[in-house]
Amino acid sequence: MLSAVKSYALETETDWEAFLNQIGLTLQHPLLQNIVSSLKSAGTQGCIFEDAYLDRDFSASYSRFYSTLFKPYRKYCKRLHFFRENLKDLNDLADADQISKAIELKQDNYMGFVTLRPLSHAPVSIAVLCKDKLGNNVESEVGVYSTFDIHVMGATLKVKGMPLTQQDTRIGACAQAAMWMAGRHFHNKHRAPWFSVPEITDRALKPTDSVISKSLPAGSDYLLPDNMVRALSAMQRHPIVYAVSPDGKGGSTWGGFDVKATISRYVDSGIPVILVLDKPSDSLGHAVVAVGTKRKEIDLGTLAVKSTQANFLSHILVNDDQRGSYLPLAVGVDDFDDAQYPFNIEEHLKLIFVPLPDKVFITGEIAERLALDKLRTSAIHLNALAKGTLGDEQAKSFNPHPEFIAAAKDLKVISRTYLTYGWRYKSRALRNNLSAKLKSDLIARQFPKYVWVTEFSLPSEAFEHDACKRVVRAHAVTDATGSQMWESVQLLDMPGLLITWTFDPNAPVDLPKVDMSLFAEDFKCFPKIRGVDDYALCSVA
Amino acid sequence: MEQRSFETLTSKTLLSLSLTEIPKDIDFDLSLSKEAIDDIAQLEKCSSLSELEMGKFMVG
Repeated sequence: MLSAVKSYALETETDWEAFLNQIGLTLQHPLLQNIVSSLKSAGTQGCIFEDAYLDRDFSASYSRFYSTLFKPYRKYCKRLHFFRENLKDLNDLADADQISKAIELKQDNYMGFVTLRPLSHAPVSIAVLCKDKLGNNVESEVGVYSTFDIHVMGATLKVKGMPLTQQDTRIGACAQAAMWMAGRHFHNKHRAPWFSVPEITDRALKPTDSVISKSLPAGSDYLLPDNMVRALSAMQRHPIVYAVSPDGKGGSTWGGFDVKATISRYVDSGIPVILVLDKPSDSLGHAVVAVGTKRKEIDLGTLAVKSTQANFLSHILVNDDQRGSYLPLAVGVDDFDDAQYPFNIEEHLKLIFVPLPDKVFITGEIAERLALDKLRTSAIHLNALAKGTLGDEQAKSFNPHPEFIAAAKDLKVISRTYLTYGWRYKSRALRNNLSAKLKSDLIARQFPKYVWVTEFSLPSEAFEHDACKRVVRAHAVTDATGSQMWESVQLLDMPGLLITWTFDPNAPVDLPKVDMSLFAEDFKCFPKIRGVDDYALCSVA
Repeated sequence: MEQRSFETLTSKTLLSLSLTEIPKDIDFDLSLSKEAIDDIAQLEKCSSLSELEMGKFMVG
């Protein structure tokens, strides 16, 4: 029989030791140690083990490289499915169809899977760990994930998570591993092309050069930034690269650039961001993938102007091919614990690769600055507009949310900017607590494929860890194909005022038509809640 | 996530107007401010690892 599938109870340390011995797995690599440790901490009690599993990724590596070696390698892998229950009941079932149905009934306790390739130095081919059980908690949220359908023993299980792989140092380094993780996410979530590590390396090395040919096989030890851009472009991404600047003292600096906010905007948009970390003592940079965020409580009095939701972050969650999934990379040195994770952003981040989709021609930080400027301008002139249009007497009673308007004038609102589909913004907005006027405009309004949405809140209404407790007082929508060179903000909704900008398709050279509505009432709405298109999760009847 | 309800708010539009109808004596300039233009110019500069360093920075 080619394949063997067994279930194991993992209720005690003795169970784990016996299980690992039986499947011939040693935890000599830190990555496997960390994966097993996190599974234990999350309450794993049982495992279904598949032997002789054909893994598409390792098959690609095998046919491209390992089958060409003199030293023999087997091509079969092992796959392990972890559950938060001991699975002993499966042993009592005699019929195959009962077993299959029983496994599907364990969906709520499914914690994900790990596929192990027959390489003792780099065993993890792919691991997808359930983000809700191993990544999310009160402070932490995995923002980049998709749902994987897993088929085992005739049952179909689902796991939401971000894929992880391990560099094997023969056909790829951490640069390829990071791009593979991003690429596999886009494949599973957005039907982007499927790429194996050998294919990524191929794309990275065309054209090749002398620097990259210092290792054999070429590209197995490291890639250069240009190689990574070539590979990401071949994977149908449109990468934008951010890099540190020389500080003139032999080191590097991000200057006044708020790098945590930049990472946060893309991760909040569901885009995996490749970060390259480098310590002075290291000869190579190390690539990891940003997939989530961790929040902390801060003194609101310390917030500067133009603050963003990133000011509430203590860590970026990363998938690290050498260490594991959903690991906390400290933003600043104050939150840095070398024993927990050996890098931090403030001291070690050198490069950022954002694998954007097509038709995004404006960065998140510029879209946010355009939106913030519109908000501030409108707040400053709101009274004049009311007096000029309503008359002095009626304008006296027109006093929309004074605290927010004052904060908007002083740039002391908290901004949160994310990229989303135009249709998805519309869908969420129509289900949110917005004015009937805006909703009636939105339902027939055309948007580009992608828009940047900027939500504005008061600091006192933005700091909560629980997104349902935060309040959004204003928001702006910016055309992602736009530019600061022309009017790219599509609408601004704020206390007392709604402004829309509408291009006339029959008069493309004309300026957009601007419509304004003054409101007697303020509206406060929910922020975007990741993963849902309505607000039932937050609302009470 | 904690559930909560918002107050029921009645939409009451006081005024709708298009830009061409705004009286000229109203000070309401929607164009990009100089501060925002300067900020954006600064943001666009923040990607300046020299080409030489990019060419030798190894990721692995």
